[in-house]
Amino acid sequence: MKKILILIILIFFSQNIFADENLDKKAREINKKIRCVVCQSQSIDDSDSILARDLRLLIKEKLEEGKNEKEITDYLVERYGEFILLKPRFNSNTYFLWLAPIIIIIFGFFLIKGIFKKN
Amino acid sequence: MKYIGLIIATFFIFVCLFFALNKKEQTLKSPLLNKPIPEINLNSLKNGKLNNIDFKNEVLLVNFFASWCVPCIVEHDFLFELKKQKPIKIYGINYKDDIKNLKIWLEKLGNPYSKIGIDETGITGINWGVNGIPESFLIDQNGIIRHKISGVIDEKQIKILLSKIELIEK
Repeated sequence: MKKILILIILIFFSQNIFADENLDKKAREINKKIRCVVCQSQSIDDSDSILARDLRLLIKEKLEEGKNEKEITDYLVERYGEFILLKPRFNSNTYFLWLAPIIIIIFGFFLIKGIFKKN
Repeated sequence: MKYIGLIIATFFIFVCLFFALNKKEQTLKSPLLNKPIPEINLNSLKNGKLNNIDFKNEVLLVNFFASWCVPCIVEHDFLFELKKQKPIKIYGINYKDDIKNLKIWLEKLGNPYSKIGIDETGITGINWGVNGIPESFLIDQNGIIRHKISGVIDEKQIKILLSKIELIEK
């Protein structure tokens, strides 16, 4: 009886530990995608600033509340703008940013082709 | 002559870079502009609370500050100057501070605030999209954020604030 009780306790605690680990892993995944608005070139996962630390705590709290990644990033974008995302979303404000490299590559391709043709 | 296209393309890229990097205004506009104030529910320095109910029927300024913030000392005199020129309510949000130090600070420099909310955890700061302090928000009679100032309120910012207030009150 005693052994069964210990086994139940062990299973219960190990489940909690795994749940915590998963939550930490998920939180870190999100942290890596969020820009530290104070240091700007770092994610909040890399930054030691006070705001980055507060944002890390907030993200973990929101995950514990059952919020998903989209809900958390939407919350942050509503307050800090798209700028807070290290990888901006594709929308009407950012389409030029995403499409510019493709346009430049196509332009360059035709330019080089033209030069070789002339030669 | 045969490289004219390449030269034009390179020149175009440099012109784009020049204008992109030479922008005078490097701070980004807050997405909270022209939107209702975010939720606020803070303990006040004196008894009571500072919450959304306090943001009705008058134009007011919300100022995030702390006693540990050096630029806030510079800004403090300008807050008095603003009140002298236009007697509006200023709500202070004390950001991640030590209450003892805050009280000493206010005793020493004076208190321009009608109410001070204590943001011990910094969550209200995040809720308001604060990057760093000092940071201020001009709120209209309907609780809508009309203007945001990142950094110190100085003479130039007072002029901008006064013109914004005039526009709101029209």
